[in-house]
Amino acid sequence: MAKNKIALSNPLGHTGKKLGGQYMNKMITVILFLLIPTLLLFIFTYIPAFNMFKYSFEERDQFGATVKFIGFENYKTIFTTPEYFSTFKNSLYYLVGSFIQLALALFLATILCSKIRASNFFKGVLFFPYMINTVAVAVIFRRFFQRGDGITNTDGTLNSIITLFGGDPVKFLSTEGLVNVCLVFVSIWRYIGFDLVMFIGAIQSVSPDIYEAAELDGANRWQVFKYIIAPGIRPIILLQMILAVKGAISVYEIPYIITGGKFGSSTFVIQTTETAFKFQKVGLASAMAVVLTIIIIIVTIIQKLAFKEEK
Amino acid sequence: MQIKKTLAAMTAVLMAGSVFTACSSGNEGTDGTTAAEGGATAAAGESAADNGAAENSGAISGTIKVLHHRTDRDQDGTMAKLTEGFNALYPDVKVEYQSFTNYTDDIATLMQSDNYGDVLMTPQALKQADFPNFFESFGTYDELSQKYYWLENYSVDGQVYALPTGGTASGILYNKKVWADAGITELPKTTDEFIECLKKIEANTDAIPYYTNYAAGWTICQWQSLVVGASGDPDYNTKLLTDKLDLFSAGSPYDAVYGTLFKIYADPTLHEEDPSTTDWEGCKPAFAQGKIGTMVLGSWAISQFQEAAVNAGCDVADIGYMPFPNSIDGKIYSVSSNDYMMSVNKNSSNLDAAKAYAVWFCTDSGFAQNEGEISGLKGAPMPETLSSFDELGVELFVENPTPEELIGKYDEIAKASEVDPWGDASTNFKFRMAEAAFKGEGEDSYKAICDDVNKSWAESRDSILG
Repeated sequence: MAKNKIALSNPLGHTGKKLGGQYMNKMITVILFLLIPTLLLFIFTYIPAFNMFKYSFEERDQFGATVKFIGFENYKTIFTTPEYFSTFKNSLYYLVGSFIQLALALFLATILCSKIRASNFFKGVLFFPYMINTVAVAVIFRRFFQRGDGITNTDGTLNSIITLFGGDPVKFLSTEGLVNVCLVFVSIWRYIGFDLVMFIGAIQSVSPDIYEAAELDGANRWQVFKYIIAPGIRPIILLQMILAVKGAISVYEIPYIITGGKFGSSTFVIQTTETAFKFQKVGLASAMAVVLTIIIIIVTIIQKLAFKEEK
Repeated sequence: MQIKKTLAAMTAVLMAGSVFTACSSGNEGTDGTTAAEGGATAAAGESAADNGAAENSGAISGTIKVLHHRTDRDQDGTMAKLTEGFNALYPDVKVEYQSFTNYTDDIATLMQSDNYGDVLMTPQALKQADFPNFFESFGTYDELSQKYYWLENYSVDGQVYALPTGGTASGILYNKKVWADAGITELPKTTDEFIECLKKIEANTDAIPYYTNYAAGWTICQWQSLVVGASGDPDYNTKLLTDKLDLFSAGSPYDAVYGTLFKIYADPTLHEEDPSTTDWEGCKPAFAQGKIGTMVLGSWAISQFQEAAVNAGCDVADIGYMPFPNSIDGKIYSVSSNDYMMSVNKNSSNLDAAKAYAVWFCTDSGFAQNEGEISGLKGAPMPETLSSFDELGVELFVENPTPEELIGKYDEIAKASEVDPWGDASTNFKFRMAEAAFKGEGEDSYKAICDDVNKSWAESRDSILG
């Protein structure tokens, strides 16, 4: 195709010109293809991010009516107020949860990649929660963990089952500590499908010849996993771990919708949102968001270095 | 190599371009250069403001867009019916409505640009001093305050930027049948008596004595509306600043209100089983059916619960409303305050039509009466929903205007200290108190939270007021 075009536009066929034309053509194609995604990226990511960075040095409210440049004052406030960091302890729940989630996903992916019946059906079932809107998930689980009063509402699914087996119903969402465990469970349920699909994809990209050879040599399942699958999908595991840590630090929508951060289930991002939209301190909240970004970048670098050294 | 360079240059240009446009559009929003237009129409607008249906009403024309928060009234056709009344006076004005479920956030986003409708419900989060940047003046405070309540907090430099669509009284919603079944013959006069009544409901009926509605979050803020009423002092919020009062001290209005809250929330027999999974919509029929005894809600809620009672086939007369029983020298007070106010976008291209609509809506539309709200017009009769106030001899008062030099200071302190008495952030003291009570932590932790609030408040107050 391209050659034809060049031939038409350069009927004389000078070599130098031909090359230049090809070059120009290629460049126009590349630019045109990149134009729209770049534009979208700028409008929806870089410009807002740049503005956020700018806002973090300002004192401004939600309406942006009276803006004052105050330099590093916002950052000073964050680092001198310990309350702002106290919510990071809730991230530990999610961090532990996300590693359980990774292990579980890896385990299920390994099973689903071996020859079992209806594996596609199970893949679908496990991936399905990832496709449900988080708000719907939150509504489902609020009902699931509900403790009814028998007058205005009844016990939720979990408490019904507990009562069925003769146990005492539990106030899952209004007990400090327990509420975080419940929310982590929801988070695992919701996001495990994504991990699973990534792992299945990676496992299937390992050449089947190797599995066959291992089978011929009489390797058992654990040995196959330890010596073939695990090393083969190492980059994906690393990537998923980085995403898991990032997710644990910046967890937001599940606790925000289910409990609104009550009963000690608040997170740093919930606090950032509230600072911006409830206390009208958009500048301070922007600074908090910048701090969060920096923390995530640092954690990611540390993780990468740690994994490199192991090699 | 060269492709990379060209791309880099292009993206740089793109980026610079967008940043500049972003900045310039932002500036327009705040500076606003519609002075010529505003001047030309000011005369017409003012005459319309003077007497709702001006003689020159036929001359006013155009299409206006009204942004508001009552999605329910859009859906049931109330708004469309209102337009008919308006068009009878101003036949050439076409009115369009747009309602938002999440009005407070959506309007803040819209107001980053110039397009936030022609008429809109005044966003509560906007600082008073910023009103002139966004809204058109309705006239002078001296003149309009003869006619309307609650303009103090919506005036800047003697100009009024919002008119009241209606107002509410503060108090407690209760089911008369449940209270009667519990053997209560007289409404409580003190907070201790109030808690005794709730205990009677617990002992003598199957109903939940008090429903916290905790999960909704905003519901706990209804308690804040009781505070000024509990003080019995129209100048209480000003005195907080001038006399440097602590919010919480023994017997202070804050202590009376939130001490009661703490006692109710701390007794698991007095409220529902699991406060995390309460349901606001679901509680309305349950309340009408007598499954719930009591809730702290502004009087705006009465009409919604009456509707629920009709839908559930229950007796509307069972829905009662009483003041917060904190009597001062034997007299009970309640404060009335404004619901949403209405403003006109100063960038509107049909300023006179927009102004005419806002003035008509707040004066002659009958919206407040239909909603069972207190009219924003001085001298208008009390709504029927508040008849019990007359029986009890409750003194319903309106807060006095804040002195010029203190305007906006209360809000500034509230936000800066993050005490935010009206706020519903998850770290708010109201939630901390409620959760300490739910956990059964006792009076000591209530006191600790009070001290903490006093301290943050005092620090911000002293740094802001000097």
